[in-house]
Amino acid sequence: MLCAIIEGLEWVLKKFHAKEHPPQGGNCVGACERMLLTRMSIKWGIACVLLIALNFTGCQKLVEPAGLEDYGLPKVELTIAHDELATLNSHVYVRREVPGRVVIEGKRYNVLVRYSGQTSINRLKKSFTFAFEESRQYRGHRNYVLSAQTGDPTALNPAAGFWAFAQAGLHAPEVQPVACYLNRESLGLYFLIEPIDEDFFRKRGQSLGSLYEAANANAQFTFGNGYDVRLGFESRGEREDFFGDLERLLVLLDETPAESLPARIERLLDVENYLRYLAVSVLIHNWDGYFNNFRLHRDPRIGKFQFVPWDMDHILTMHPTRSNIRGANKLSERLLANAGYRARYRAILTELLDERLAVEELNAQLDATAQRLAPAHEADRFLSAGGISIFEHARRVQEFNRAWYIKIREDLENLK
Amino acid sequence: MKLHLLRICSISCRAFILLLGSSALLFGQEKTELSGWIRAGLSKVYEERASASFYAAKLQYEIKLGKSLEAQIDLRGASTRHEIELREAYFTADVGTGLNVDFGQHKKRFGLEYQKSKENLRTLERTLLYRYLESFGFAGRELNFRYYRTTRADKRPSGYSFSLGYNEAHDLNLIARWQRLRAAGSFTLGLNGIWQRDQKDNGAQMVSGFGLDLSRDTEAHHVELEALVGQDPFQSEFEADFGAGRKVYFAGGKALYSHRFVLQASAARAFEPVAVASFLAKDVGRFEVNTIEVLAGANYWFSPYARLSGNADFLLSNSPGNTSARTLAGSNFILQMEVRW
Repeated sequence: MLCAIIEGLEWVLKKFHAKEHPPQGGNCVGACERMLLTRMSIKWGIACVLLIALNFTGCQKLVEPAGLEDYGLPKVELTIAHDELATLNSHVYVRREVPGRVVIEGKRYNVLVRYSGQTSINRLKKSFTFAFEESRQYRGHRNYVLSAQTGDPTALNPAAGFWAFAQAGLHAPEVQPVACYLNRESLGLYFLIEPIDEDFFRKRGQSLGSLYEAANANAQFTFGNGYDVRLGFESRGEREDFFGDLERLLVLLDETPAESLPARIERLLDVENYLRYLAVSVLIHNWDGYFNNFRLHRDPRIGKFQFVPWDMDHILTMHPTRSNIRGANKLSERLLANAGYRARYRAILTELLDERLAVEELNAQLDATAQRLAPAHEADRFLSAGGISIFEHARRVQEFNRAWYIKIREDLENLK
Repeated sequence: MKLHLLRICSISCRAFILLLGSSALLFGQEKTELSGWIRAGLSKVYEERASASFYAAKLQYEIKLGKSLEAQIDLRGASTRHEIELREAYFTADVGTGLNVDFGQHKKRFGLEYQKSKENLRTLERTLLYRYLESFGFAGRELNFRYYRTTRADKRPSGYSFSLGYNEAHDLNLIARWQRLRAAGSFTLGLNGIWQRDQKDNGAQMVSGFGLDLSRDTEAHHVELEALVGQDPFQSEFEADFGAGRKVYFAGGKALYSHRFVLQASAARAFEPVAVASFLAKDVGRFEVNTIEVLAGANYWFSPYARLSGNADFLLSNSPGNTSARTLAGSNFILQMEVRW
């Protein structure tokens, strides 16, 4: 093959030479010498390059590339040009967007991609956010999150966590586990998580009003110790950088006497929604959800703040101080100090414990998730590095849940 | 309707006056140079069914701020993104004969290919080794301070460059390069080193890379021979966090040859075939798992300012699961027209 290529080149050079120096008897010795040198050098140059290549390939068999494994899940194939990947990887913390292409469940989208997440941004397995082209949407959204959930070695938490909140009647993001690839290299098991934005509320018959993202594990509900809401909340609502109604809520919690609290707070907060959020958080140990992983939304038509859960990677594990029936923040403390709210909270907890979030239901959900994710969990080099199978994780969590539910039932008595 | 037309006319007039004003300012300033390129073409990736068209443009301002100070601003736009990007912005200060200092956002110059802009390469894209280096940040762009001495064929056969860089992944690096003209016959020898403090989840790791290159550039021939070796920060971090803690090293080499046939000297019309062979082992601990790149290409120069190029870039990769067979995954063909000014 090599000889054929060189012969071919020689033929091209001869033709070229004949055109430049037609045989008219003129003196073309110098030109011919130069041409000969040129011919020799190009021949040897190309021969060397090809020989090096062939030496390494060793004439190995050429096969069709195997299709990317889906492990029984939808696939997300992300393609980013190498120079754009360099830009992305050298601007991690400013979350710079770069153009890319993503194929989700066989459908191709041009997107702008950036790294996202609070904890996972420091990790090797990072989360991404896609912004779709203006006219394109995925599941009714102009943005979507591809979450690594690096805090959760079990991979069971996102599906179980959001399912639990939905059981209690709260708005919860849709979650879809996927097998993820970047430039054909496996990134492992990821989760497509519906972002909480204008499209989220529109799909649920609401409209975007004030929206606050709990951040930096410092979302407090008191101005005590000189707290500034900007330290723990990011305003993502209709009015950029507006914190007015959130600050009003905190002032109200700080200054309203216990006896007049219900009358005043119910004008600004959907208390039933929060008590349900608290009950689920207590049952599934959503200890990062008291100061960090939630969104606070105030639909202008409802006029009251509602909680939406976010980021379920730190659940179903015991926290030394926050795992208790009363939750852990100032808002829970103020509400549960009121006998009426305490009674309602007990009723909600009882309803969830006995019916919609009974331990058998929660554990069955974990079993189903483990069954579905087992091949992807095993193939994920980060998740499988610990040497514990997803079934073993599920078994341990289920045992833990049973013991925790017994404890909560006992503590219910002390909540009267 | 009349009012609407009037408004459109008024906006158009204002835009035209603004454009005239700004271009007068720009070109009226005789110390400002404007360069750049426009590219348009088609690309086809092996495993994809359809080919894709693309276009891109670069606009570079070089503003002389004094006898020994210059500012450069590189603006880019492409069909893949619908906004203009500020790609590079830096100052160059002349601090002595052949000695310069750069400061700002610009190239991270590790290796032979990153000494040049993409438009000055014989190939349309950077070759396999550099695409790999870009993925974990040994090459690319960042904020850096660079002190360097340029070479000159008649006076200064040796040149060097030291740069200290920092990026928004919180990585800190030092890059050094030394080169000597005619060090081996007519070949220029280059030595490269990078030492990087790579930020990771729980602290940082030190990684490094080294390269050796030989190049020869005459009117007709262009030859590049390169070898690179270094520590992969991503794989090493994975091994530290989830594996046995071993450091993962990569190694690779490249040979490039191109020849320029002048077809019409007066119009600088030329034809330039290019051949590249590269080798990359991402983990020298598993040297048998590797990728070989064989690139065949050609540039047809209509003038010094316009070229039509075609590159068929074959990537032959095997995998840890099957080292006896290779696939063409990632191989591509690009046809591109480029006009520069």
